[in-house]
Amino acid sequence: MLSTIVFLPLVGAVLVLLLGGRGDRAEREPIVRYAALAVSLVSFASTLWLWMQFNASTAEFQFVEQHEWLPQFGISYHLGVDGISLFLVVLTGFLTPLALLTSWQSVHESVKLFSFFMLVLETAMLGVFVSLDLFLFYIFWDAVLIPMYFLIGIWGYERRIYAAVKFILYTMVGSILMLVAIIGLGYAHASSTGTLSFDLLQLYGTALSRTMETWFFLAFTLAFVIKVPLFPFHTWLPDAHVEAPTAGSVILAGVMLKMGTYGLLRFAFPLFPTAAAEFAPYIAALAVVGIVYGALVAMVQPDMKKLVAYSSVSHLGFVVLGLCAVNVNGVQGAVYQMLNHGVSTGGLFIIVGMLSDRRHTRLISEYGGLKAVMPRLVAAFLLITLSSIALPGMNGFIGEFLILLGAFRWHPKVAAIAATGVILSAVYMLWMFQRVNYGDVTNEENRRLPDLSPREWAIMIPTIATAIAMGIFPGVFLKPMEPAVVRVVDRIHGTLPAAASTRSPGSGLRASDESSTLAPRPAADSPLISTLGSRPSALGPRSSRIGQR
Amino acid sequence: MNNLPAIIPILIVVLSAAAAMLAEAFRQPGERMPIAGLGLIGLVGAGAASYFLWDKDAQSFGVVRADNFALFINIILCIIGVLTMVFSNDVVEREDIPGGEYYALTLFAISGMMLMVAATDLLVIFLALEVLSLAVYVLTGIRRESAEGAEAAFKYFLLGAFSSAFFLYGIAFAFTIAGSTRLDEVGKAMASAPHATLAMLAVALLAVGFAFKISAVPFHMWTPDAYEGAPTIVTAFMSTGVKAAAFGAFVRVFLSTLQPLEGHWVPVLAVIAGATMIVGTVVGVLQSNVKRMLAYSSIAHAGYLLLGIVAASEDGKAAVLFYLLVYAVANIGALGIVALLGTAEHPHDQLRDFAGLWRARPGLAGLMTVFLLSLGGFPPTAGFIGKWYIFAAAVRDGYYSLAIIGVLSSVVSVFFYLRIVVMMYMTEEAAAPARPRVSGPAMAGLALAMLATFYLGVLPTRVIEYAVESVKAIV
Amino acid sequence: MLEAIAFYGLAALILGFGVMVITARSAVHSVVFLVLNFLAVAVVYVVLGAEFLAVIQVLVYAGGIVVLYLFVVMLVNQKRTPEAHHDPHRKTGLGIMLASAVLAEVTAIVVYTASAPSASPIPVSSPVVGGNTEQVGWLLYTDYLIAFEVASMLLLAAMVGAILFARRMD
Repeated sequence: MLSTIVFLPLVGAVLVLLLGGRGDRAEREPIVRYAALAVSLVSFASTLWLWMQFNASTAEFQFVEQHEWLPQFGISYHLGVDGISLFLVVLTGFLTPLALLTSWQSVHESVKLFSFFMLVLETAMLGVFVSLDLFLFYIFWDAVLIPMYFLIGIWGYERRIYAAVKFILYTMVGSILMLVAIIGLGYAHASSTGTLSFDLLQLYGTALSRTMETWFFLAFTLAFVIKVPLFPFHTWLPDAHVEAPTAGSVILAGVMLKMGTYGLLRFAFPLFPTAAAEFAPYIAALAVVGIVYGALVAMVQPDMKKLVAYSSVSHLGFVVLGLCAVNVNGVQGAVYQMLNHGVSTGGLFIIVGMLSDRRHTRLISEYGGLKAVMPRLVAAFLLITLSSIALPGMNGFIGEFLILLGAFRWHPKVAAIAATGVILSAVYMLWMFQRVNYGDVTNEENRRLPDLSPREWAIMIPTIATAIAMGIFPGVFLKPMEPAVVRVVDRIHGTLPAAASTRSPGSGLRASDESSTLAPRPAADSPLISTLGSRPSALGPRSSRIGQR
Repeated sequence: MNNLPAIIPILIVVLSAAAAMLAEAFRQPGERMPIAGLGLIGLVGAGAASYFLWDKDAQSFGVVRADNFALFINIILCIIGVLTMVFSNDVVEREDIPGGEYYALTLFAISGMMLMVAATDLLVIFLALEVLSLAVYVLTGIRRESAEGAEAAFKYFLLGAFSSAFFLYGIAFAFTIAGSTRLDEVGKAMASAPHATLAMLAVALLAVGFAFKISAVPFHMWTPDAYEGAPTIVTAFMSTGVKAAAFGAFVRVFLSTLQPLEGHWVPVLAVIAGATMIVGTVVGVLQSNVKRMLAYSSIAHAGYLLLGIVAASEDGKAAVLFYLLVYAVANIGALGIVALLGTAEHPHDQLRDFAGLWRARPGLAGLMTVFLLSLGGFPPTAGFIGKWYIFAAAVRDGYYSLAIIGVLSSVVSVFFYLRIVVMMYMTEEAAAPARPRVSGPAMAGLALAMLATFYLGVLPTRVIEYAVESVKAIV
Repeated sequence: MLEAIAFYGLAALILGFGVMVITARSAVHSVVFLVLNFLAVAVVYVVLGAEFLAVIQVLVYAGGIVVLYLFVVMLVNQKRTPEAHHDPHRKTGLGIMLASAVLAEVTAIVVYTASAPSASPIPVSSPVVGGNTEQVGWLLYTDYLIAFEVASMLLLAAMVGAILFARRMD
């Protein structure tokens, strides 16, 4: 079933290519567009089905498919979802139709090829999130680069080729070093256990020498932090975002950046726990720098898209901070924030795309007083902005709160500095919003702009609804995530129940002091969730820790 | 007649070469004869014969041995030959290349290549090397009107003759030690006197001879000039076939016969491999002529193959074989497209010639993209699996630094492959050059190459099994 | 001992003549030095006891191929007469001395070989193999058959190439 979900967009992509006929016939455009949209909607429906069928009470991987693929290399075709990857899969399914819809106005050249690449990209991203074999994961990881490269390079703006080449080379350097580490890990596992395997579940807990573990961890982490992007490896992002077409930006910010944080959580930290413990403070430091730096630079941007791009650096700094805390609050907040960021930043890029479709400019100075001209668009804009700055009641609040909570438990000072990022994000977003939308209509051209078209309504309503729903009913999303998050945290701390871990529970990250005093398989912070009105967790309370402190 | 089966594939190819020459002799001027078809039949026959000889380990006079190793490379050579024939069909008429002699020489070269990998005697290896080299020198300069071609042929010939002399000198020393030029005798003698100066000299000179043919640094200087000056279809043939044959013989001689002296030549080859990978990619980035760029890229690929030899384990050898196949298919595809798009007046080998190819010829642009992605090592193409295999062998043997050099140079090489892709898709053309039609058979050949690239990229198990099995034959 | 002197001396000659081939001004001079080179190689073969090869070397190389070269060179060079050239560096005396030394050496070798007791390493009356020629022939058609045939293939390819390059472009 998972294979079907993963490869359905690819089949659709080939279908679109065939339906488009030879060359770029204009009369075929609508057929191609509707076909691509249909495929992406079916794919989204299948991810929703996956969610419905998901068993929220277990941390095991579900819908597992495992076949032998390259036995001489120990490589198998192994797919599976757990609570963490489930929602990323749903997010991918959710954003792709939206991205396709936004491009209906702005992309007119080679629509067939555009849709082809978007759908191939969807398959690659889905594959990244469900692969449980390192080799397979790497294939999907690299496979994401090519369609994105084409999307930026062909349908982008003025400096698109520079941005596309920078994007691909930058990302590839990181990931190619990860390739060496993957191979090294596989063989290290083979020399200690006698079987060559690249299966993730078997590789967890491989005995490695300190130096090997450190190098492998660094190689993996480099690949992932370039993707996130973490300061100072973020320099490819502003260019890529600005030059990419709207649909590309939506997918890039909405899903692809999450691949980096997902990789840290699924691969880098659990596979190399000792090294992770050692480097987590430094990574967190970089994350915090990113939060503040991203926010400060965003404030001075004249270009809306670049502003949103830097805001991504800032927001994803929060996510990485949450991951580095390695406690249930932090990690759960991080995963939740991944989803939030996808929705809210995706929404922001969609809005900016709508504005640039109308005026063909992204400069803030060109706009002003839009509220009088396009009240509905501005209303949507406002809601997305509020979601992005983590207003309580919106999705961002839950995520950032959980992250700050987890970070505070780990390193209070770090959390304090990070919290300033929340304020800064409000500053730059609201200031941008005010300059664009309030005040007098300074530019005559802005007077005649059309308000939201039906197609644009169709894009904005689901986005806003999701943002609000995630803010008011976070439990719906947090509950299925819990067991998986707890298990990952335990694995990193080495406190897995009946786990074949060779490390003592007390070593490693500081937060492990807390987790080692707990009963196995503890639950998430239920008091926190219950105050927000969602379903309380069925598992035992972890809140006892709050009392102990 | 137990001596004959081993050389049947080679005989078939030689016979088709002779048939090509005869056909040309009886051709009226201006008459169109499907001589490429003759060559095609011969190559398919040789491929089929190789297939039937599998696992039979036929021997001929003790000097030629059609073991699985030779047969695997034979099949690679047949694939290269078939694709070359199919593409040459279009090109030969357009570019005024003397048809019959061209096909005859190509087939002679292929027979020399097949013999080179099947030979178990140094002298026969040398003779086969000479046959293939001579044919290729002539092919390089076959377009008489072209001054670059003549220069390229001359440079190649001169440097090639030098390297053959080194090679022969090495054989002489090996003979001195062993009293025979048979590989197994040489191996035994080397094993019992591994530190003798003569042995060192023999190994060094043989290595130089091979290194030239595979264009390893610092013996690579002839490659860009030769590849640029030759007609593109000849470049496609040279860059894949000669490498396949040379690496085949290299593996056989160094990894089985000279195995005892491993400790001495492995470090040297490791350095050469690293330098080759770096030079190939770094200098390739600076080129604006696509043929020259692909010449440097083939130098880089020779570096990866050398890495496979350095990782002198079972895995390393099989990795070399698999990578040869992957590289051959992708390189012939890419250069084949360049050849098919060029004419005598306008060879279509500058980077800007590719501008806007996507709009003019979407099929060719798509195929070119696939081949370039395979050369760059992107999943899910065969190039990725090939690189994985080689790097895995290197990591397993502990050559981490070489593996890192390999992967980083891989990324740099992506840069120049992407330049062509950028040109095809993202640049508008100022004035479209007149591009000739590509015939049906040529398109079919390209499509087959593309399918092979994806097949080897997604389901390579079967072929890898064959490769591993064939390597066991020369252990 | 004598063999060593003979070998090194001849090797020096071979290399020296080889260098002269490349550096000579006139094409005809080049070819003549090539002949001398081949003759010296033939003498080396004789010293090694391979009389068959020595004879073949003289017959085929010095006799056949080089004469062919000479013909072509002379035909091509027809229009240009050799220039009268006075070389200020010429040292006639030294030349005569060296030439005499070479002559003496060659004579010594010839005398030595002729007067040596049948020291040919191959027994003449052997039940299996005969003299040098027979032995070489035997090897060529048994152990080295493939090599022999491949060599003929090589010649064929070379011929095709030569004709391709040499014929008139039309």
